[in-house]
Amino acid sequence: MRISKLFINRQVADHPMTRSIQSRLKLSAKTVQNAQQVYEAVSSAPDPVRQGKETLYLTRNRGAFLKTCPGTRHYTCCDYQILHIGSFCHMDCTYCILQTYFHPPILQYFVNHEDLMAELDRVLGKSTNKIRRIGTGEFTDSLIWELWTDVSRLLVQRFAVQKHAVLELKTKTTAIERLQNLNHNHKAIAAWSLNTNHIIQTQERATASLTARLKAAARCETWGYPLAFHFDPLVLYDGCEKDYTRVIERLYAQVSAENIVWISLGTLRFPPSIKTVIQKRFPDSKIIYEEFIKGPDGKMRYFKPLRINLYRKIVACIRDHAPDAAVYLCMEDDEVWRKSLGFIPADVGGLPHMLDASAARHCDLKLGE
Amino acid sequence: MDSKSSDDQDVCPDTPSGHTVRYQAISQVDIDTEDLTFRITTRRGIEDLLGSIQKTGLIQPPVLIENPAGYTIVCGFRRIAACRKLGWTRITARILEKAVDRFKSAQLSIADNALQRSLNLVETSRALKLLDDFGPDNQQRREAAEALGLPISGSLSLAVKKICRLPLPVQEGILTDTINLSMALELGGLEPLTAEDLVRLFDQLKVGLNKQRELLLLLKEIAEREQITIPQLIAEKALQEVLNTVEMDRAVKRQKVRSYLRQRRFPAITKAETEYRKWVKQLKLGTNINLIPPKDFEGNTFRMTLRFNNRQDLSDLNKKIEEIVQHPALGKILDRSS
Repeated sequence: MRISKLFINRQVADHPMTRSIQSRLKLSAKTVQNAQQVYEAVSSAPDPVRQGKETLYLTRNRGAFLKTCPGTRHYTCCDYQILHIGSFCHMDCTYCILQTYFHPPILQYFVNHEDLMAELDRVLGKSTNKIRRIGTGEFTDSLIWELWTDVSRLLVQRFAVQKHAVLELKTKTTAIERLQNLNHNHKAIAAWSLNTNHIIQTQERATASLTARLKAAARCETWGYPLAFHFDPLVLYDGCEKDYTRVIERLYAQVSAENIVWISLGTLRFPPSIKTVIQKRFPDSKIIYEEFIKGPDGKMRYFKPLRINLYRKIVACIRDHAPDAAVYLCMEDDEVWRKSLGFIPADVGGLPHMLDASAARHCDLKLGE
Repeated sequence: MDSKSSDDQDVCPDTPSGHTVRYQAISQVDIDTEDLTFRITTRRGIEDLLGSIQKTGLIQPPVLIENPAGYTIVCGFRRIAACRKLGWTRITARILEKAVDRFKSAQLSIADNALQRSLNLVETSRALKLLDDFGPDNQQRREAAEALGLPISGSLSLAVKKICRLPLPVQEGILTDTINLSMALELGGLEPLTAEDLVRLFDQLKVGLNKQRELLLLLKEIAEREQITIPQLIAEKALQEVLNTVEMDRAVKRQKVRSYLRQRRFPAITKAETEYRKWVKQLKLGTNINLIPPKDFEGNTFRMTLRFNNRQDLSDLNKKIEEIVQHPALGKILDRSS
């Protein structure tokens, strides 16, 4: 979707990054005192979610840029850290929980990079024995900002000069051109969310095709970037197992197994409030009519045996191609791990340890330096 | 029109609306019984009126207003129908001047009904709609509604107003207490034929609001998933066989319909529940032990409750628990869920 409205918080109206983005967007802007004025403009639209995707709000992040991934005690979390550069996304996936995560959701970008870099300096600058896995692709897509900002270049270059943290840039786009000549020092992982052609075409509007995503991943591999892939959400439909198997075959035909840092699997889950949003915004989508139960974390997820069945088949297919792949499940319990992967996180020292080890191996991390 | 002659006229200047009305004998043929603009009542039968009118005459004359071709009924739809049925070719009516505006006529019509009896929801809706249609502004509409005892609270009045625009079968459902206002409005968002089928289904099963909501959700989601319509789903043989079995108790029908729909909407979950019950049955828990699985088989923690009155009861239960622990069926239960 195209950005059609630009709002700028008065406090950052003269910020160089604001001027830079505005000149690249070539849009006149409305200066506002606070986010409330933007929310009101978006909320009055017939489809506020869609309006939020076309409305960019430039502001300052007054809180921490680094946040802990919001896990839950009921399911195994990977101990990931989110680098909060902005929020929401101009692509339009049916299942996107960001549609109700922010009230109302608006495309928001934090221009105070000086604070972002200062916080990263504090965290990355000190010697530590803890590996950090940090990503920008949780509250937004990591690479949608490439058209208007230099944030990925800044971050890749900052992570390149330290040895105990990796930056994961997770995307459904192919906006990789500006990653090409960066000295990443293997500390930036180029990651793609993958799905079947059927799901991409019917549920992931305005995203890159599977072919394009895999081609972009292969190019990043040639530029030396470690890669990661996220099959999340896995969506059940007639013939989905065969389709996911085909995606995995295509993945391994395009990139080398040894360059993949990790592959995550997560079946479709969503807060109940998303259901009415999907019914209203995507009346043709049938994905909410599968067999869901409400988990102890309050989210709707497929009935457990259905999840296990799909995971097993996908894991088996991945292992056929890459027996040593670091495959993990996103937000699942020990039963699902054991029945799907044949082990539980505790068997390998915990999920964070498993992923840290893979990151250390692929990204040349050295602790205590 | 002979009725517009000065014969049989009796002018009365003192009316609630401040306008002059006259009492006049009117030919039935000049009364437009097809124009239901001012009809408030939902009562269609006239049997209760026939005897009384025949015996004592028309004590309270209907109110009519002149229109270019004759007269429009403002009050007394049933009285006029009863007189017609009795073969009266002329009746005495109160005739409003042409100058009486339609908002005043509407208030007269509402008052004629509301001041005699409590209006039901459909009638209240029609009354509010009349005020909406003819009231010049919100202030006057609100004052009139308040004076006539109609609901004026924003959300309630908004909800009630929608009723008279709902498909007729849905309105009938309200009048027969098959559905309430909340369900009526929900059904109002569906295709009229779908709403009609659902009202009929709820009436056949005599289910309360919660069960109606559950059935509606199941039907809607099955229809969405299978890309069929709700009427198609209801018309399927499996459901019709249950609904049309005359000798089947209504409670059994309710249970069968609900089970069928739930099984169709959640095949894997209902299969797991059936298997669980099968294995639990093999454990022969008796009446004093209850084994409760994790909700939706999502968690891993089972709960067991024991009922005992004394030490001996507890000792017996202890032995039974030992048997359960060793029973192969417990392995099936735990393996499925743990």
